[in-house]
Amino acid sequence: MRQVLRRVWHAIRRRRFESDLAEEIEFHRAMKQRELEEDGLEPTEATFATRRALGSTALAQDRARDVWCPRWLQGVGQDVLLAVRTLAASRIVSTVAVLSLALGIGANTAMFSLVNSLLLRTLPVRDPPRLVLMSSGTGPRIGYWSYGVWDQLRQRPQLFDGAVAWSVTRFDLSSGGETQFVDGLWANGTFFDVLGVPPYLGRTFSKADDQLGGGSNGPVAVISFGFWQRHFDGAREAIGRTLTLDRVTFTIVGVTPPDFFGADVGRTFDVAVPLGDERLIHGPDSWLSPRSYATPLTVMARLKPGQTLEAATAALRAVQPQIRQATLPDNWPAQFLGRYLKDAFTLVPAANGHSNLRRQYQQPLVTILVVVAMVLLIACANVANLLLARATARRHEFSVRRALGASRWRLMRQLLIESAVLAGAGTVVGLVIASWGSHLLVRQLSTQNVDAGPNATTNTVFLDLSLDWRVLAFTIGVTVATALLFGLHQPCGPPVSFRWTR
Amino acid sequence: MGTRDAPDLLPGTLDLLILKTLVRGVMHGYGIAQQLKDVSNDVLQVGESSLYPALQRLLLKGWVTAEWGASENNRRARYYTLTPAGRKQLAAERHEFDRLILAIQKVLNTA
Repeated sequence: MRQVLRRVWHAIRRRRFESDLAEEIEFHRAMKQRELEEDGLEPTEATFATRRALGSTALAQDRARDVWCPRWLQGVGQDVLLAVRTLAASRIVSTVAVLSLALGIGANTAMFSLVNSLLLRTLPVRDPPRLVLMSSGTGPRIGYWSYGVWDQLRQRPQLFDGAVAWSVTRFDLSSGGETQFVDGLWANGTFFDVLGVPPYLGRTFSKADDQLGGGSNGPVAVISFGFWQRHFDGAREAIGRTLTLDRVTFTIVGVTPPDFFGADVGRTFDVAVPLGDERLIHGPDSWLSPRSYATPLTVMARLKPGQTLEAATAALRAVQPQIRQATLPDNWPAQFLGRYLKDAFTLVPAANGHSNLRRQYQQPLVTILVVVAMVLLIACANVANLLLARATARRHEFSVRRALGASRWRLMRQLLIESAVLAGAGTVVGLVIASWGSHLLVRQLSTQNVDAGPNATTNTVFLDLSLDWRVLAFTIGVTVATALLFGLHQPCGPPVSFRWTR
Repeated sequence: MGTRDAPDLLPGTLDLLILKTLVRGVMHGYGIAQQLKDVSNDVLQVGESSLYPALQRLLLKGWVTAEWGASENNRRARYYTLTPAGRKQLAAERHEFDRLILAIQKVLNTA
């Protein structure tokens, strides 16, 4: 690490280092000469003898320089400057090239950041690989559960290292007059603790908050960072203030961290309230009864350290008959009940959360990603053609440079650096297009009717599209690949036959 | 006056010799070369094109530091000092070198 710093320091103070070295070598030479003169040689004779004895000082300097900076890296800075000047000279060609690359790279990055946030990114919670989603049936079907099943599960804490249940909803924030909807979340008492989401401000829920019909502190609510900023301007006094949700007054007790959007990928929440308070709002229509047939809840569990998915599933299936029996919905026909009893509990890995959006868009997204990759390929081909025309015009330049002793590799490097500069400029513009494009795409998704579970009444799509290492790595990869693709497509000078006369 | 460069040394040996020479104290490049020559009875004549790159290498690795000062004839000269890291390196390399020489001698003596 310190060596790298020394190298950088050397690169910055290159001139100084060079002149120091030259002076040092000259000193060495002078001392040697004096030594010879003291041995009785004529001054002129001594000068020559010294030169002979010491050999090439230029060689010494070259070798010393190579110590600090590998030979192949020397002159890259010059090449970049030359590339910028060359590209600036043919402004129209360069602009067209940069723009078409920017569109290609931008489209790819936009699609990839969607794919990333929807398919790849893990939930911003503690140790996401240990999260599993409870589902019914044997396939990858995502299940929704009744309160009864959750209640039974909650009474068996030995099964997992904690479990959470939640349901998404929409609250009316107004206390009268025009309705004002916000994205809501019913969350069980241990929701934030089990997921490992610390409060940004105040506190999150405790078990005491999640009691049927309201906890010991009355109805409480935790708000998201975004809502806190929008609604309270990020004021600390928001803690303790009240919110009216569907005409019921809730006290705000905490704010969640900025990156936490809930456990549903594709949505976000403004206000979370304890599951037990559902009865306060829905009154007689509440689904908080052991035998309710409504299945609004998504259930996620955290595996114990070392517990495998199979072991957890087996443990869960062992108690399945009891749970099913205890939660038989009222007034169901016998054949439904039979099926209900047999439907097996299954656990599926859920490190990247639960998402209906993902189920719906996984395949289309990947397909579109392939399509935009094709578009970029076409853009590369176009740029390569543009550059090919220019390279033909530059044959003369390359002939001269080769005749002066530039190696083929050196000319190739020049061309590659020009390509890299073009691709780099394309990437910068492309990133702007990408951030605009991906947000536009998410807005487009929002207006479609997204199936978001049985009782979802809102279809706002939220995806965390911030740049992370995956998107950056992807974009850099695309840029390098692009530069190589159209860079290597150019002929670097006339192959062998030099035509000196024209 | 021999114009011959130092005989081909094992890789890294020159670095080792320079470090060892600097144990005696602060020295400039010319002094190091002289010292090597004198101590080795004119066998080791290190040319500039090996000495200065080697010194730069040691600087890069942080085993020596360099400072400008006045020489004995009042010219500006760059003086090299051994750092603690260089001292440690010298000990390690010396051990390694002894092992190597011993091994080579063993090979040469068995036949």
